[in-house]
Amino acid sequence: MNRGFASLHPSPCFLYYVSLVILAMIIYHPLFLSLALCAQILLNIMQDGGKKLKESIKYFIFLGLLIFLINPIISHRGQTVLFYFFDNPVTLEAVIYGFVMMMSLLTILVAFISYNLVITPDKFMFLFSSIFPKTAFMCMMAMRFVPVLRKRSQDIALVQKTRGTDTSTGSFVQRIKNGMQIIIILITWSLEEAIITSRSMRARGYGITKDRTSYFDYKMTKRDWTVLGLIILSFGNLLYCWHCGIGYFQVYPEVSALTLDIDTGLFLAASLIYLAIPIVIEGAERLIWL
Amino acid sequence: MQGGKIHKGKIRLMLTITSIAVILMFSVYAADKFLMPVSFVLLILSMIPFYLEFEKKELNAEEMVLIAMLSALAAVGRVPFAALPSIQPTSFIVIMSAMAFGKEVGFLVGNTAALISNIFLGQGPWTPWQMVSWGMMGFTAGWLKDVNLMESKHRLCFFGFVWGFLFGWMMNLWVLLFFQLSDISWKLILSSCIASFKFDLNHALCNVVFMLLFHERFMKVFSRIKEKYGLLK
Repeated sequence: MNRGFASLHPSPCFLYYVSLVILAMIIYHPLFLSLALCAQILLNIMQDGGKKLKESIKYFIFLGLLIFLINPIISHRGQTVLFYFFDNPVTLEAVIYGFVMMMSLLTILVAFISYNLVITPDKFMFLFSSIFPKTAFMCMMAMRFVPVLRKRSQDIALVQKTRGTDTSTGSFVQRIKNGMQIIIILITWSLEEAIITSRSMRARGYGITKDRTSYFDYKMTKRDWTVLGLIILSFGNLLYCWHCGIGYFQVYPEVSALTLDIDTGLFLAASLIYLAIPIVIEGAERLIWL
Repeated sequence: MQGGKIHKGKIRLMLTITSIAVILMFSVYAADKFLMPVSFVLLILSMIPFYLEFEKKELNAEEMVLIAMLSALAAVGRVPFAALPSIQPTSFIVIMSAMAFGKEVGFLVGNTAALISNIFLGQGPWTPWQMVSWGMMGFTAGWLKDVNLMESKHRLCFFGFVWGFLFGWMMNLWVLLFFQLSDISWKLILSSCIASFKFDLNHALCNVVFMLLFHERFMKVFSRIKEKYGLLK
């Protein structure tokens, strides 16, 4: 996928997801969290028609409800007792805290789905390689070896089967032994192969130049800088609000009322600007091209 | 020269400890509100010194590919067993690599194996926790070997057994922090450890069985490569 939000340089995209997860973890305002969740669901639908979201939505709802229900049972903090459950007080505060945690968790989980669509492993490695080039290179190689090793282990298993070494029959210990036999052959083979790979790397001049180039060459364009600036500004704005206590929602020891004064209104408007960034980018492209 | 090196190492150690102390102080100030973000920062900070060390090392092509291959092997070992919780040869391969190639390699193999296996099994907030847990499993194995505490097979088995539980307990902490339950008490931690006892026992016993059955053969394969090509001395 290479359109909309994902067509930007990886760094503004990465920063957006990191900042979103941070905000979802520190701002407990129910309205903010609801807005964030709705925005993330909308973003997912715009990106791939909500296909990936549909696959895991049941599991997410189950997890969310679990927290929503467990918190009031475990935690007895708070002043407003609603009722007694097996002689344990269930407080309004604990219920609301459970709800807030559920919204926060759902926002993070849904954001991760969209993250996986936008920041593919190669983009992540591109970002990582500017700070830790050697480590990123090593991870990249290891990533490439995984499919090779899987294919290889199937080949070995097939050959071993003709010799009667089978992982699907026999006693438990026998099966573990047979499985490990395959892994040991795989290791011996692959380590030798690794040496051949590295000799060929050396023959092509690995280690001669200090600065390694990257296969992917993302360049920051004017558009990327604008979006990056916008994200930093609106994120900083929200952090500042949080620092000053605007949009602070107190749960313990006594839940505060949800009031809509000017401060909260401005705070919500600021959050809307922040949350709308990727949606506007996706939407604008749609308006132009579709 | 030697003195200068030790001096530098001391300064770095002090810097690390101070930054961790500052963050812990911040988390005390922020009380029990921001356990999750603080835990992430601490996890990432704890991994950075290892990466910096690795970046500085002069490694030739053979050693780079070897570390990558060991990580891939440990990661692949995890994938076919994904359906059986806590039964996998990854921990065993991580410990064996540390025994053969030293503590730094042990850390890198455990760390990378967690990162890249999650690309196939699903990346999430648990990734840094697994990275640190498996990394520390490899690091402690190599470290105990350096101080000659891992000579007999019984000790190795015991080590694998203990780490089976430690790994599970570290993962429990992740779950507790992620659910951000408002009262994290010792009682809650204890009950989560009791709830996961069966899985941790599986992991621990699985490590012991692998150690008993395959320790010699793995060491043979790894030492052969090490001796034959003179790698990672």
